Amino acid sequence: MTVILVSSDNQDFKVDKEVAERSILIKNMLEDVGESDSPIPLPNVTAAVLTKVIEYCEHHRNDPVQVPEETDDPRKRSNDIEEWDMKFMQVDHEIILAANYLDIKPLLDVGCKTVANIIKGKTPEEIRKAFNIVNDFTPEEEAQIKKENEWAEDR
Amino acid sequence: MSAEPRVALTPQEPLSPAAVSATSTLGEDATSSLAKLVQKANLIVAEILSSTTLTMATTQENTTPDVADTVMTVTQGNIQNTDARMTSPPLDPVGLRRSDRIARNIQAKSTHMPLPEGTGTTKKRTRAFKEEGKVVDIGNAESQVSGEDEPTPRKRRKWVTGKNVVSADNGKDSDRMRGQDSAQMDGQDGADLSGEPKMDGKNGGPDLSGRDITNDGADGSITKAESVSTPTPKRRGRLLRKSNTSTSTFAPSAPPTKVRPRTTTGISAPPKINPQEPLSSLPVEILQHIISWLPLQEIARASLVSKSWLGAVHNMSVWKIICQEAGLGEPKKKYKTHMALACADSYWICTRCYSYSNAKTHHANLPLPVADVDENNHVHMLCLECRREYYRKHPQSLKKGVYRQEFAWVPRAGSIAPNGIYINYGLKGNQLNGLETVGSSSQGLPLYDRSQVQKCALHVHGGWVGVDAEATNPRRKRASACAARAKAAKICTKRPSTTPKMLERSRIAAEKRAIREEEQERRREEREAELWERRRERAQWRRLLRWGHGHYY
Repeated sequence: MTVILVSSDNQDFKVDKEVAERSILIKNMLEDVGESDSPIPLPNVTAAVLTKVIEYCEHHRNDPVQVPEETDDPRKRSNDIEEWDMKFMQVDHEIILAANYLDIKPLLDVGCKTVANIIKGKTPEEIRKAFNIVNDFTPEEEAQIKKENEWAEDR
Repeated sequence: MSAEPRVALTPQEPLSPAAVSATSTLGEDATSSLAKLVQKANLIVAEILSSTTLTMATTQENTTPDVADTVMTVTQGNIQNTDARMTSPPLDPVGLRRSDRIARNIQAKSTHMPLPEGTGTTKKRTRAFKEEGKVVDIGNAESQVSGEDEPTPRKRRKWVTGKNVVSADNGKDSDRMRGQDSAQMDGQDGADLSGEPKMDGKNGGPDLSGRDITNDGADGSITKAESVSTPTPKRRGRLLRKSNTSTSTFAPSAPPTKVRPRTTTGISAPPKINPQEPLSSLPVEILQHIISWLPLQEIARASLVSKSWLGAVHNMSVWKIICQEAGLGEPKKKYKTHMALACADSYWICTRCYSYSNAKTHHANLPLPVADVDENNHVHMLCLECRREYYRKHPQSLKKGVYRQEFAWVPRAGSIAPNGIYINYGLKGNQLNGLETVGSSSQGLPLYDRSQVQKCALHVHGGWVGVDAEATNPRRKRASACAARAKAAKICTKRPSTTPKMLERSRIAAEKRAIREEEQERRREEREAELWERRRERAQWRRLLRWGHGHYY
């Protein structure tokens, strides 16, 4: 059984239903719609990104579907990324947005972890430089915030 | 131009990235890059003049200077106010950067319009830049695109001019400057900012993608300049647009790549897609999701990046969880947010389990730094339990025992007495219960195997970090406690005589004692015998004397 996904630029993607259901959004959509051959439009995802997402889902199609545990453990670690995922995520942050939209939690996690690994160990200045963020604090504000969490600085 | 100084880089008046990039490139080597800019302006103007397709209904006569004239004036190095029609007061040297002025002059000339009077905001001015780039693209894509109006070359130029006037104008002057086309242009500008993908419907399809592609060339310079001084509010709109346009770069319809070389200097490049800049286009939830993978103090440090990050960090649920788990209660007067509360007590909070351990005396209970091998040796502050768990996974090697001079009397190498254990490893009392003694010292102290003691201490205090913290704890009363320990050890352990040496010694002593006792016995018998001998003698003599005495008498 295949599902037809339509990207924002009107390209059709034929995907196995099993693969497509990696996305909770599509899964719910399919459950709502039931059995029909009508293509699913994904207006927020472009063809290029959708290609990558489908590639990810194909690669992980045999993974056990994670039980949506809502424990929300705050003690997360960002170091357990699979190698394939690591290579995969070299691409773009578009994928993070797409994963968020399509509600593919493992992909979103992998993407966020990748970015977090970039951030990790950087000073705020380095983070700004790396991601081209403008420092919009006045010096006073900055000093104030620095004072508030100076414990984070000296370790 | 009168308010031009105010245009200088203040946060209230956001500079668009294109302008900033232009200024930055100019600022470094003003003269040489100026020549380049002039060349570029020349090219652009020539292109505009030669283009024959677009027309616009209204023209502003005052906005069409002689292009060659303006370019000439620029090349003559008359940098500051070369345009004769610019009736502007002298520039305030404080507020405005020279490079900025140069950029603006060139821009104004290349689009053959006077610089906007009054407070022309840089935002609008840079929109003029953008339009310029667009115009170039249009020129290139002209063969494919025919606008809705039938163009003449002259009119096309006017159209461009009018557009620039509108976009570069401030609100005060806009009414005068805008014609009916300016309304259109406004619509376009709005669409441009909001990033509607179909904003180019007016100008023709390939235009958008073409412009996007042109942006890629000037990427580096623009982003660098942005990081210098572009404030956020402008940025946000730009980013929105960026995310949309960046998706459009993937569009299968290939844009004309012809325009790429001309945008390399960054003048006509509109604000653009920066692939290196993923984070700011993400919604706050995703940003929080990303940050939440970081260790705790890096989360706190991330709040220093920018205001949006600060907001994201402040709103994270982690702080609330910390406050709950550490039992800090609700934020009150002094610390108004969960984050402030958590940060204030962070010295006592484990960064992994968020447990609160405020140890006044037992320093090993404090969160202590542990370089986590699993996470690139990133240093965590771990509480005792977390440290135990960590060192169970990654056991530390034992140290070679270093004997202090005062413990040199310990008879067996590798063994250690209770007071040494307390001083060196911080173990005391019933913490030693599990260990078995390997003997006793000549002072009667029990001796423990040093490696066993080290293992025990590593477990109890959570690694060498904990052991050192405990052993060097300045709060404990070392001397008296040590004496008390030694005393208690002496009392509770009677002197055992189990070692063979001791047995031998005691056997010898017993033999000697037996010999001595025998000797003494023998002597006493001798003495007694002698005593009896003398008595007998004396009695004999007395008998004799008594007999003799009687004779005498």
